[in-house]
Amino acid sequence: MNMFNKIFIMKLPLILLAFIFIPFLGCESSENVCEEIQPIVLDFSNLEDVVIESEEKEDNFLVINSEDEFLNKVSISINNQNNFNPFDINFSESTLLIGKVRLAGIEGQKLEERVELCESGRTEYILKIKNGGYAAIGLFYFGVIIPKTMEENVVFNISVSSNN
Amino acid sequence: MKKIFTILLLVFLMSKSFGQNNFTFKGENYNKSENRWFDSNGMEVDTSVVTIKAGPNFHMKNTFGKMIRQNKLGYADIQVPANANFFAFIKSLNDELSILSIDINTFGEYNLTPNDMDLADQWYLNTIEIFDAWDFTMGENSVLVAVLDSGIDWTHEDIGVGNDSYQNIWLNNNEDPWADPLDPTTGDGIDNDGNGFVDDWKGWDFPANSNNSLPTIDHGTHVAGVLGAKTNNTEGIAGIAGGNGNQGIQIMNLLIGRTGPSTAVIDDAILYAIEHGANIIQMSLTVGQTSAIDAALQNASNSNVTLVCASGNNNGNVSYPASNSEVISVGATNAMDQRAPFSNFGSNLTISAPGVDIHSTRIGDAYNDDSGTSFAAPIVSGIAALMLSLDPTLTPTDIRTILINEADQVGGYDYTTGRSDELGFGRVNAFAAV
Repeated sequence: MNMFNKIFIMKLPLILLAFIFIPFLGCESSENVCEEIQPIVLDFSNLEDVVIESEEKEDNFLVINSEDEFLNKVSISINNQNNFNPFDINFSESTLLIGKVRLAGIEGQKLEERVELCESGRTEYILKIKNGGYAAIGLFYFGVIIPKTMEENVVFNISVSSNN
Repeated sequence: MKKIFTILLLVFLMSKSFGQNNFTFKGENYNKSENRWFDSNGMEVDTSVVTIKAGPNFHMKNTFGKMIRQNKLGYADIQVPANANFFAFIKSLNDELSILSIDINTFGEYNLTPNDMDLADQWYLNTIEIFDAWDFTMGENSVLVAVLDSGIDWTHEDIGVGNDSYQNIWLNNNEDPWADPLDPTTGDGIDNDGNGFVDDWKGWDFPANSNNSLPTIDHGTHVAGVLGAKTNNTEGIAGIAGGNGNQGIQIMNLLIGRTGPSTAVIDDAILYAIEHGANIIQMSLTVGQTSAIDAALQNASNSNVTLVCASGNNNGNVSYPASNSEVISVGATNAMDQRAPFSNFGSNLTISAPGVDIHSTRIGDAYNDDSGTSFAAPIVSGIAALMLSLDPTLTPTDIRTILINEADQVGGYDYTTGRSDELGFGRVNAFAAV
């Protein structure tokens, strides 16, 4: 056995390990490539009597991809026609991400809201909310319209922090 | 000797007869329970006064007790001698031929059921036994409760004037009324009472430094309704201390933040409440602690003002300012008399009150159900207001002591030290407290 073969055999386990992990490292790095997109943000101050699937004060996040789905699961009244009208969404090109989260105090406040689209096709809706200071159990509604995507690609990353 | 024997026999027979737990007189059965006598309808017997009708040959004897009053129809109220066996005394009167009739008196009930339309939706009123408490008082307008909140809709039919001729909203009578009572901009622009707040006739919006204290969210209106919505006025709900078809307690509207309380003004609002004669300060809020608020709370307590605050809804430790030792902190219970799952608890919790699905007022003559310790606190504030309506000399310490001593230790929690971490000293009982 010449010197080259000896070195090759000694390093074989390392080479094998490298082959095993390279694909994972590759996937990880491509999934992590995400970029922030600019969604249309729903302004709930212009919307009234919002009901998302039920009137229960519980968390509920929905991915809506058709007008039928929207009409079946969401009920909204509009109090200002000059502002954004959720009934105008073109579902052939867009997806509505909408939801509600239970608060320990009202009125809640948005601390951060962004949507990231990753190369893997995953869409992450990141929303940080602060509890309000009045000690009533309440709901915080939120929603964005993004380029068309499938429900299984969406991740809701919604968090609520204390009010003080 | 024979006489002594007869007396001893009589005493023996009477003690045997009257030591028992039931007695029949004029066909009515009386039963003893916990050292009190009740008739067959459950009415408690007044063992201190008996009413008799005296015949023409009647002569008052020392053994009959003292005559308190007699009416022109011949009926006289006789005070039962102290330490007398009540039914032995009745029997002795009954043996007197010159007495034509004897009436055993009972304490009745007023049985007031207010006619407010939504009364059936207010499940919590029965729980705290408010109907019995209302036999004593439904709130006097001499009691002033300052509500530090998101503002109160003083145009609401069940709090403000509405369809009635009265309201439970406090008016600063040292300030000239607005030309249009519904328009804050129609004041005279002069600080008539020199308190530093111009045209503050119906409260004050502290963050905006404005006399327009009308709200934009429902919270403060909901709290105010629980506390003092107009009661027995055929509309809406019954407030805890909302009067009886007339003015109840007065509610001072101090807006400390339209969408959330601002720590910068809470101390100022507390001082305003003290300076304008508030007896109770009601808070349903959670904020970060500041030395200015601590000092204002201490000042309120030193000024004989009772402080009540919601414990918070994080299912954790009692939040601030409820955690301040001068404050009565109030947690929430549900219809099963258990701690509401969200209600803050622990060693700083004083007492609890219903706080789930509480039906009350909202902006625009509307009503809805809401949950939170926010709505448990005004129940306690309202009961404290009823207590002060009956006895204005009560101090904040008296009120706290009575509330906790008379609370019902419910929920099956461990009260071996007199309190539980879940509900504090228990769930408040309005009847027992007043």
